[in-house]
Amino acid sequence: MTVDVYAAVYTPVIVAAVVGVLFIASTLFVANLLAPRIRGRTKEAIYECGMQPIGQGWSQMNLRYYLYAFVFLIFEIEAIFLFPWAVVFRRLGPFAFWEMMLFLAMLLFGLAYAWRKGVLQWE
Amino acid sequence: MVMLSETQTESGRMILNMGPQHPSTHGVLRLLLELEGEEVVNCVPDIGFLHTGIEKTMESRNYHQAIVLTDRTDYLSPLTNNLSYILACEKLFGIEQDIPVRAHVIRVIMCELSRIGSHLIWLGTQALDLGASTVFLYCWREREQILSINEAVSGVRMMTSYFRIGGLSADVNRGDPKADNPADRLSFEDRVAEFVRIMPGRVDEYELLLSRNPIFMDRTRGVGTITKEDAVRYAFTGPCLRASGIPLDMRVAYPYCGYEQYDFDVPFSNEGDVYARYMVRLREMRESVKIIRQGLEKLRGLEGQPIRIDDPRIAFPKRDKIHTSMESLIHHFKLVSEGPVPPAGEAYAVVESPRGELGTYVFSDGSNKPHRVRFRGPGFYNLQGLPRLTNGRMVADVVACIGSIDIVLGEIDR
Amino acid sequence: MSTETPAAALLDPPSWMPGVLIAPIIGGFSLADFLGLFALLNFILFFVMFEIWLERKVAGHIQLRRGPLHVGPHGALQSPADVLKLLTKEDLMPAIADRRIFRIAPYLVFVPVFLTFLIIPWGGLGPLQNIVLRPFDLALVYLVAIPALQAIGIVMAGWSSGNKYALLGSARFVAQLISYELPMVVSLLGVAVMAESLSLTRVVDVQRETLWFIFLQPIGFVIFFIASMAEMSRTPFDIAIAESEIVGGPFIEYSGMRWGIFFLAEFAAVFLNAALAVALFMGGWQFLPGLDLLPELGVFWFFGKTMTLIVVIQWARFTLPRLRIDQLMDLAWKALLPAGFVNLILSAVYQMYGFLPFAIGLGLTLVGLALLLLAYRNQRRPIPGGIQLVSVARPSAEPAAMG
Repeated sequence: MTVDVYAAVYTPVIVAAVVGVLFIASTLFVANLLAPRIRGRTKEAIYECGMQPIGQGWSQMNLRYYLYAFVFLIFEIEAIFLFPWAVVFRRLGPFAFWEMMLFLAMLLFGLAYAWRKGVLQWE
Repeated sequence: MVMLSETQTESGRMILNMGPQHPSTHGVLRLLLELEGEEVVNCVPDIGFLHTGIEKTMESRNYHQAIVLTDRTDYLSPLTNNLSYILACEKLFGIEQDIPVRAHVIRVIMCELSRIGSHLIWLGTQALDLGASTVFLYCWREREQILSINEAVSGVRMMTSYFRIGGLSADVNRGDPKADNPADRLSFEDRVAEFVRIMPGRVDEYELLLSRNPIFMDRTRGVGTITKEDAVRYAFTGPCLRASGIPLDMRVAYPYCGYEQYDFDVPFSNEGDVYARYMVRLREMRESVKIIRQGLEKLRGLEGQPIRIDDPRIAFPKRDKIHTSMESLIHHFKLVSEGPVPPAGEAYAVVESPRGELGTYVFSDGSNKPHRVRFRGPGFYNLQGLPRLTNGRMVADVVACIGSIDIVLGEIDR
Repeated sequence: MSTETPAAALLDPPSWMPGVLIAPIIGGFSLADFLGLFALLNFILFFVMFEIWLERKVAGHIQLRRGPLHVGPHGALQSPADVLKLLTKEDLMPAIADRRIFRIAPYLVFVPVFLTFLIIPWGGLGPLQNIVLRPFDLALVYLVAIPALQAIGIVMAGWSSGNKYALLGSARFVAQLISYELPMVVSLLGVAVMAESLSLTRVVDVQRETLWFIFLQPIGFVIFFIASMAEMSRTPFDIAIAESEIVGGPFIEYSGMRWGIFFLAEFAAVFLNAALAVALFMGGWQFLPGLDLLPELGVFWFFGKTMTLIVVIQWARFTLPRLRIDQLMDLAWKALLPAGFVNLILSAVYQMYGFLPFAIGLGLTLVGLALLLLAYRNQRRPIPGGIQLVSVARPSAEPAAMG
């Protein structure tokens, strides 16, 4: 498969993205023309239930899901391995099937391990 | 103004204003949340945004005019507020034993209706806070009936001011056969009977939507737990206290309006969480229906009885007498312009409002205006325990907890 | 990967179509494609307006109300009126906002949704067969890759606002995304295994030849449906927006049409996910399982099924309470993901060893899942003694009056 074919298939995505961007830009442009614009300091304050915010909006935050994110990353990458296998494994015969079952077993074992270790526990 | 210390801000934790302008702080409650990610480390309620000086205003109104102000405190169940103030005034006048039975029975029926109405709002908003928007509108359907009954009886849907010192402002309506609205053609008794007939089925409906719903249970069970001891320490009353294992109910502990003659159960639970408070309140609605049924039964035997005490200090003279007798005209004029004048003294009366113990303290210096009125509103005390419920839990639990203590800011800020 | 790389919008352009329409202009892009994109944009706009009206009507009737009534017949023009209103609304931006990022965010939320529309197999309409804007061979991978870009837009929106609620909301959104992406991928893998292809048109064709995948992979369908609902961030999974908690989350500071773009993207995503569920599991534009009634009207069958799913999504929104973030994560990691792997293995068994072992396995799994659910429910059942009663029966009270 040549690069040109890829280009033929996927450049339209970029074109479509540009079309989407243009669409939003034009909508916002029209809105810009129609909408009033009266500035004011209170208007440009951020909403925090009607009170002055204490501290900045960009404060530090403890997200508590870093470990989830790690597990997610690992699984997501391994899932990408599974996609090609899913399409062709029947043609490759039982070996590919059991090979992948082994792979899945390892994945599931990993999940069970993470579960057991309390990674999948919020906090 | 409540502030968390600056050192806490510097610790990297986020200080978040929740309220007063927030969809689920039930009015204008402001909470200062100290957050560690999603976890609430500390929660400081800040009240006073709805302060209208009701207690102070009452000092410049005569005893009769002040009734109107009581509606505005706990605006979701105005009738219980009326009752609490009026019971205190009746004690002041020393007439609490002489109130006609019919007046008492109607008071009980109206108060229980108002309890159901208030619980319906609580249920609707609690569900709405948790994201179940439909229950809210189902609850309004039933509350609408209660409000129409209020209107038929007192002329007003919410701010009823229906009770008077010594009785009621008027007898219940007989129904107008020529009314446009079919519901208005029914008499009070028929209307309430109709409501009582459908209400248990409607409670079943809510239970169907929520009680066994796994998401609802996950969101409420084990959330916002408060122990029996803490509940007592924070002076919780009402369903919040009963859900923590203490079956204290003012209707039973200090009966008023003849509650001792009704047969009902006081539900309580030992769990102390949001779900327990939910279950207790749902059960209370069913118990209220039971009480109303008995009240209607009693009312049947009291047809034609007076609804107001016949005491010249309080009751107006008969209408035809005002037209014929000079003394009656003067009497009427004095009562209207000056209002009833109790002897000097003080009185405290307590009722079980939908939110708990609602006490009213009235101090009289012998003039026609109360020298001091003070409410012991249940919401104020229940709200104090909120940090105990929320600390260590997540932001999403905060709204569940606020909903479950069922506060009305009008009564807290007064 | 197979070598079919059609350049035009239509898999088999009918012979009457003039060559100028299908001749490539840029890359593989022909005039027909541009027309298709134009049609698609208009479709999204009008359908979203219709969908909002429908949702308000559905909500109204579920909630004993009537929904919009006054603008147009049955309130049908309410949504266009709302769009006009949004266009004339002032567009506010907080003074402390990170202005550039604040402006870019709506684009990044809408464009991925729009791009994903390209792969929807609409079915046939009259002489046109099998309308797909871009029939990618790697549609399933595309489907995983592109919509996830939305998360960046939402995080940008939340971060740039300088608002704590927005920050909380975007953090929640990411948590949700990383949890539900995996079950979704795994359920897509099950489809890929069954169809032996990553092309969405092929997936539909395989379902037409055999059976709808909803019957072969009920577990996969449920997982996909739940996961896509979570990715759309709709109740019961709308913790990232959660009106009653964080008051709109990342979109809290947006107003006017800029806010409307987020809304547009959200409702477009509802259609998108319903349509994808139909294409992946419910036979696409096939009339009924095993029955190809009037393939010329395929678009209508496709729409009928999609609308059904949309109403189901709306129904769920107005019935269920919202989950909490930890419960949401638990559901994804401890229930959907393992179930998804079981589904994947079962699909592979079906391909390798035929129907019988698969059917036995599926039956056993379903029974096992049912037992697990039952055990879970029993565990969560209200304790019988949860509510106790203190009876205050008085001797004077008449027993006959008891309720």
